[in-house]
Amino acid sequence: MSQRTASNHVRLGLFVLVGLGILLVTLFLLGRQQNLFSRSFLVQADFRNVSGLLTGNNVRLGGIPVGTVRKIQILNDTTVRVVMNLNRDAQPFVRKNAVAAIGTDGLVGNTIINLSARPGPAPAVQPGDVLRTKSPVGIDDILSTLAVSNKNLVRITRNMTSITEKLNTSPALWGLLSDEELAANLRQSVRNTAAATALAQGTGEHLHAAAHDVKVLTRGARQGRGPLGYLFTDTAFAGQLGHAARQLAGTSDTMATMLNGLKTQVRTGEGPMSTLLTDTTFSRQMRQSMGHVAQGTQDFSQTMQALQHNFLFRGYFRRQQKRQARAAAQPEANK
Amino acid sequence: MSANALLAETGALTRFTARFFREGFRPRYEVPELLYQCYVIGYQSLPMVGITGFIMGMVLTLQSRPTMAQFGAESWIPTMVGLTIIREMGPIITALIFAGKIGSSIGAELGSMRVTEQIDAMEVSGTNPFKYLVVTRVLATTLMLPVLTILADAIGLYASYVGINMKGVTTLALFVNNIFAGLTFGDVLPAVIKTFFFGFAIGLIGCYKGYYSDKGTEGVGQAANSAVVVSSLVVFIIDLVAVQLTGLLGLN
Repeated sequence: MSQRTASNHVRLGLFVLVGLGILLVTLFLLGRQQNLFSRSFLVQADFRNVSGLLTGNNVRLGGIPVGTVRKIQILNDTTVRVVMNLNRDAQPFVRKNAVAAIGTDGLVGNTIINLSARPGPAPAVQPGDVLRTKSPVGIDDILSTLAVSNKNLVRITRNMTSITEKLNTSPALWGLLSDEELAANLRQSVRNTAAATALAQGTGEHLHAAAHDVKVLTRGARQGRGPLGYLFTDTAFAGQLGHAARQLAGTSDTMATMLNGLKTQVRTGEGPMSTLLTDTTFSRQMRQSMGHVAQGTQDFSQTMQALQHNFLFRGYFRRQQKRQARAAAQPEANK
Repeated sequence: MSANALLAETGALTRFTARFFREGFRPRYEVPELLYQCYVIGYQSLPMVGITGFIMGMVLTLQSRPTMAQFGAESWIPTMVGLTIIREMGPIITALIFAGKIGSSIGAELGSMRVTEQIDAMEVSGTNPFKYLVVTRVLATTLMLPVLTILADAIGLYASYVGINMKGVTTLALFVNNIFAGLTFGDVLPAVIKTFFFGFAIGLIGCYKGYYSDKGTEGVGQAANSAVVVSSLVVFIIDLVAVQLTGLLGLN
C-alpha cells in the first residue's frame, strides 16, 4: 500500500481532468456550431420542395453559416414551411428582401439553405419574417433537359457526318476548289460587278433626278397650278362630269331597252320590223320606189328652179337676198 | 457449457449485480480505496490505451487513404476517420483493451484472494469484502473507461492528423474544423454514454469471476481467462444494444 501517495492522486486528477476537459471542449464546440449558446431569432420561408432538408442543416448567407434549420413542417400539399434559427450577429446583414434557396454542400454533401441578397434597399430582417424563396434547380430537371439535348446532338453530329462525307467524296467540289482558272474568272466577275455597280450608281442618280421632276409636277398639281391642277381641283367640273356620266348611263339604259324590244320582235317574227327585214320582194319594191322617188324629187327640183325665175316669184327672192345681206352686216357693226 | 449452466451463470451474475447496487449505495463508502483503484485502473491503463488509440487512428487513416483517393475524396478523410473513431472504434477498441488488461487483472487478483482465503479473513475481521473489493473496482472501471475512451479518441485523432500529413499536408485547424463539421451531438453523446456501460460490465464480470473462483490456483487462471472472454463478449452485446437504442431515439 506504499503506492497510495499524494502524487498518485495528482496524476489521477490530471488524468480525469484532461479527459473531461476534452469532452467538454468537444461538446462546447459542437454546441457553438449549432448555435446553442449564441442569441438567435427565428425567420421562416415557404418552399415547394425542400429536397431532403433536415432539422439542424446549415443556413448560409453568402456561403457563411449564419444559422440552422429549426423546424420543418408541411403547411399544405404544395407548401413546406421551414423555420430557421439565425444568429443575432447576422441580423443586420440579412435584409427583408433576401431570397432563400435550397442548395447542397458540394456534390454529395448535406442539403443547406442559401440566403442571397437582392439589389435594392430593404430594412434588416425581423424575427418571424417570412423570406421569399427560389425553387431549386433539380438535378432531375437538368438531366431531362440534357437528355433531349443529347438526342439532338446525336442527330446533328450524324447529319454533320453525312454532310462532310458527301463533301469529301464530291469530285465537283474538289475540282472547283483546285481550279485556278475559276479563281481568275471569279476575280474578273467581281471586278465587272464593281464596274456595273458604278454604272448602276450613275443610273440611280438619273433616276433620282427624274423622281425629283415628278415630285415637282405632282406638287404643282396638288397646289392647283396648270391644266392638270385645274382638272384636279375644280369641283364644279367634277360635278358636271358626274352628271354627264349619269346621263350617259340613262341613255344607254334606254337604248338597251329599245334594242331588247327590237330583238324580241325580230326573234318572234311579228310586227313590221320583221317583215321589213325578211321580205325580199318588199325590199326590191322599196328599192324601185326609192328610185322613183329620187327621179321625182329631181324633177321637182328642176321645176322649182324654173319657178324661181318665173316673174311671179322673182321679186320675193330678190327681197329675201337683200335682207340676208343686211343681217350679215349687222353683227360687224355691233362689234 | 450446456444451456442450463449458461442460465445458472447468468442468474448468478444478475444476483451479483443486484448485490452490487444494494451494497454500493449504502454507507460507509470506501473513498480512499476507490481513488486508489481509479489510479490503478485508469491512470495506469493510459499508456496501453494511448498506444492502441494512436495506432488505431494512424492505421485507419493510412488504410482508408487509397480507397478515398480513388473517389477523389481525400479531403473527406478527417471527417470519415473522426466519425469512425468517435462513434465506434474508440469506444470498442478501448473497451476490449481495457477488458484484456483490467478484466483479467481483477479476475486474477480477486481469484487469488479467494483461493488464499483472504476474503474469508476479511469477513471474519469485520470488513465487508464485497464493499471493499468489488464495489470500489466496479465503480472505478465504470468511471475510468469513459475518460480513457475520450483520451484514446483524442490520441487517435491526433494520430490521424499525423497520418494525413505523412502523405499530404493539412493544418491542425482545418483538420479539427473538418472533424467538427461532420459531428453532431448525436454522434458524441451516445458514444460516451455507452462506455459507462462497457466499463461497468468489464468491472462487474471481472469481480464476479474472481469473487466466485475455486479449485485453487487453477481456478485463478480460469477466472482471469473467462473474465476477459465474457466481458469482451458482453461489450459487443452492449454495443449492439446501444446502436439499436440510439437508432430508436433517432440519434443515428
